[in-house]
Formats: sequence, C-alpha cells, structure tokens
Amino acid sequence: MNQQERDQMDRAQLQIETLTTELMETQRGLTALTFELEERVAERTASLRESNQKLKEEVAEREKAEEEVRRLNEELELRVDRRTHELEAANRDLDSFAYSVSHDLRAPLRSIDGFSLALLEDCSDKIDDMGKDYLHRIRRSAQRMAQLIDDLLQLSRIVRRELTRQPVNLSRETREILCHLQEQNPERKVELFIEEGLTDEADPTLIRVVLQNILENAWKYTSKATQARIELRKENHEDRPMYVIRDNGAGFSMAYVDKLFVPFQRLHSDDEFEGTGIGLAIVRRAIHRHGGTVSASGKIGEGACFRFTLGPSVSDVGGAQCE
Amino acid sequence: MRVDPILLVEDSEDERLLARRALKRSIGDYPIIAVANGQEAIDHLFSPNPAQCLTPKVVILDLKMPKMGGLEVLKAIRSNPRTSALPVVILTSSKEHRDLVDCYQSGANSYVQKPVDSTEYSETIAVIGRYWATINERAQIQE
Repeated sequence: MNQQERDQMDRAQLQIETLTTELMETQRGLTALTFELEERVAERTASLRESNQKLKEEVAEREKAEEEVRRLNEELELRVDRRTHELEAANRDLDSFAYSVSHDLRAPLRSIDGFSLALLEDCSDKIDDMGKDYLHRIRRSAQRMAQLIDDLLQLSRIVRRELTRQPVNLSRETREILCHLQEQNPERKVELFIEEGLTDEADPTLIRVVLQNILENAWKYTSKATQARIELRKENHEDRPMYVIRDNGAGFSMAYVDKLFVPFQRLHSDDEFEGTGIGLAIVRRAIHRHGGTVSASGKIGEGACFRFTLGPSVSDVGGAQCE
Repeated sequence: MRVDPILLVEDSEDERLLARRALKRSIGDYPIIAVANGQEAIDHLFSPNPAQCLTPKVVILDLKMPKMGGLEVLKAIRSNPRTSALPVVILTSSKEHRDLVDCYQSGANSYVQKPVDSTEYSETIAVIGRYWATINERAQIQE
C-alpha cells in the first residue's frame, strides 16, 4: 500500500467514525424522543381515564337523580290519588249530611204543623180564638223553618255541583223569570228594561239561580214603590262584560253592604219583607264558582243595584300566571 | 165482601197517626194496616202461611226507615209474581233526584214528596187513598 492509498483509507476511516458518531447521536435523540412520547401518551391515557371515570360518575349521578324524580313523581301521584279519594269521601259525607238534614229536620216539623192543624180542625169547639191564633203562629213558624232548611240545602248543593259552562242567554232567562213573577202577582205593575242579546258562557242551572234570587229580590223590594222599575244592562268592566240588575225599590244603607251576602243576615224584618236571608249568599257562591265577582250598591228608598261578572277578567288571569 | 186494606209503611209514629187521620177524612173508616219499617211490611206481605199473606189495595211506602228501607220493600214486591202488580206509592221527604230515579226504575207507581205544610200533607194522603180505593172499587164492580 502506498502513501496515497493509506491517506485514502485514513480519510474513509475518519468518515466512518464521524458517521458512526452521528448515527449514535441520532439514535440517542430518538430514544429520548420515544421516551418522551411514551411519557406523554401515558399522561394522556391517565387524564382520559380520569375524565372517563368522572363521566361515569356523572352519568350514575344523573341516573340517580332521574330515579329520584321518577320516585317523587310516583309518590306525588299516589298522594294526589289519596287526596282525591279523601275529597271524594268528604263529598259523600257532605251528601249524606245534606240528605239526613233534609230528612231528619223536616220530620219533626211535619209533626208540629200536622198536629197544630189537627187541633184546629178536630178540636176547634174547645179552643178559643187566642188559642187558635197561637196555633196559627206555630204553623207559620214551622213552615218558615222548612223554608230555611230548603234554602240551606240549596246553598250546599251549589258548592257540590259540578260546573258545566255553555252559552246562556241572560236576557231571555231574565224575561222568563220576570214573566213568572208577573203571573204570580198579576196586580203588580212593574216597568221592565231588559237589554237584548246578552249571552255569556256559564253554568245554566247556577246562572238561573243567580238571576232568580236577584230578580226576586228586586221584585219583592219594589212592591211598595210608586212606579216600580227593574232593569238588566251590560256594562264593560275592563275586558269582561259586567251585568247590572238595578231596581228603584226599598234599597239599603251602604253601611250594611258587607252583611248583604252573609247567610241568614237580613236588613229587613219579616213584617216589612219576607225572606230567609240566604238568597244573596247563594248568589255569591254561584258567582264565585264561575270565578266571577258580585257587588251591590244602594241607598235607602232609592233602590238597589247588583253587578256581577261570570269569570275572572283577563288581567286577573294574567296576574295569576305571573306568580 | 172483604175489603183489601191500605198498607202504610212509615217509621214515624206521629206521621202514621197524621196519615190515618188524613185517610179517615177522605175515605172514612177504610181498613188501614200501618207498620213501622220495611221488615214488618215484608212480614205482612210474604207470610209463610199463604192464607195470611196480605194483598193490600195500595202500599204507601216511606223510603228511609230502620231495619229495612222502602226501596228494598219495593224491589221485593216487584220480584214476586203474586205482588208484582201491586200499586206502590213512595211517600218520602227526600228531594234527592237519585231517590226518585231509583224508585221509578224499581217500579214505583208514584213518587210523592212529603209536604211539610200539613194541609198539603193531608190533602196529598187523601188523594192517594181516594184515588187507589175508588179505582180498585170500580175494577171490582166491573168484575
């Protein structure tokens, strides 16, 4: 081997050494990178596992919450069912109470009235005029008590009745009731004004009871008026029609307006005007069953005025929804 | 000629007395059998001894009574061939719609509410007595 060849070999050797060193460095670098990557993968895996675990916990929690809601709902339904049954039972109790009131209270009255009449008819030669007057008084009281029982029962029926709304012609009902009153008292002359075509959605039976009571009052309390007048009109109250029944009869003092709708509260004695004092209490309950309002105004000697609506006005309903 | 009596079923003694009085005023000394509850009425109508079974001209029947109510008596009368055509007048203080419907559906001939006013009461009973007594008498004459 000559000098030239040796030099060439040395260079080649050097090159190989350099390359080897470079290769080894690259390899070290790669090993380091691999290690780093593995570390990062392990880290990610751990964090993924962690969030997976969290998700699982969350799902379990959700399921638990849903289960709880379901359980609460079932419990609520059960409670509603139970309450409904209780209410139905209470209603039945009320029913049988009303039934036994009507039966048990009337029976002694029939005896009182019946034997008073028997005395008047069978023993009239043995009873003087004063005795007969007493017997007549007993009979009148018995009949008045019977009327009170009937009115009480009607009041309780109004509360129990299921409400069914359908179009009702208030003008026609009013005319019919007043016609009937005219037939009963043909000697009376009452000027009537009935606004035509007043229809509304209401329970026909209850609305008839309302009109009947207010109109009978108007008829009764105008009996001493010189030119009696009864009218039915419609006024607009906010967004709902308000019906107004006005008379020019005996009227009442506004000082007692609060007592007007209370059962058995009367502003007149029986000698002035007969009545049991339950009519307007019935009116108020029937109107309240419709969600409406009723109010009265009057002045002694100048008549009375009753205003009612047959449902909550829209603004009332809006207010309820905001709550 | 044997006269079939009126059977009056009423738990109140006072009312039995008042009803008797009203009947006497309208149809005189007509035979009346008055009993205090449904069970007694059944005993009279369906005696084990056929010869003693009562066939009244009309049954005036109260509804609410101890032991056995009027509706049960009415149903028993209607379900027995011998008594199924007997006139039965319900006389009750009940103003319940369902009582009226129950009675008519069970075959009552008439449903009368007891008036509290005793003039009305005695006239009502008088009419029931007169109506059923005369109708049945006419029928007997025609036979």
